[in-house]
Amino acid sequence: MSDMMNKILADKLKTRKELADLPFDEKLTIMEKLRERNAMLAENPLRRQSSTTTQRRKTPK
Amino acid sequence: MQDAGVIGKYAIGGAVGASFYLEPTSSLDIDIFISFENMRGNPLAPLQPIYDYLTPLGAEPKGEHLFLKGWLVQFLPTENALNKEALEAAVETKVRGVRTWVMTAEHLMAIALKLGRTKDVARVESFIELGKYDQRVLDDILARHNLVEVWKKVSDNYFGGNK
Repeated sequence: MSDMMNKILADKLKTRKELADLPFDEKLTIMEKLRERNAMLAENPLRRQSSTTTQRRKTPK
Repeated sequence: MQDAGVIGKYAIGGAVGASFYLEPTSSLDIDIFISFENMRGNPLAPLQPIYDYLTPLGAEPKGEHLFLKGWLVQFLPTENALNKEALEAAVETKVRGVRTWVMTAEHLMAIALKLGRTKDVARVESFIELGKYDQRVLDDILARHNLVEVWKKVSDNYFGGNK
């Protein structure tokens, strides 16, 4: 692995450790935001259209 | 709910419990482990007292969950020795000023190893990667609950792939 990639991975791990060290209340707030974002993405018409298309493709003739 | 005598000790487990130790991740629901032993009411509907208590407070039943204050909450029975032990050993904390209990990191890891789904293994790997557990405590739990071989497989795979 290149030095640049090693540094990127080390930085990612550092960020994860910083997030892990946050107070639980703050983590719950982040989780609530993540949940809201996921719900918003799931509601997106483009996403729904895509999943319908996928289903249609899977349906046997 | 606990003060009202509806449930005894409870503990947060699953992804939300793990986020007490790890970085926050997206989770569909909150898993709350409780003991159904000594609970009042119909043994065939052990969750009924919980639903009866929480519904007037705004909780809305949604399939196997209760939707409460923006969260889907699932109450799970501590039906095996590992879960019972995890409930007993849960650590007390405060969430937004309210006293609550979260399973220990080592018990969350052991339960994840027992479940063994892809997401459970990923959670165990996160604990390893962030070093948020006590190996001696974990070894003790794994030995008691016959999970040493599963741990060896997961940890060998992790350390083998991260050399």
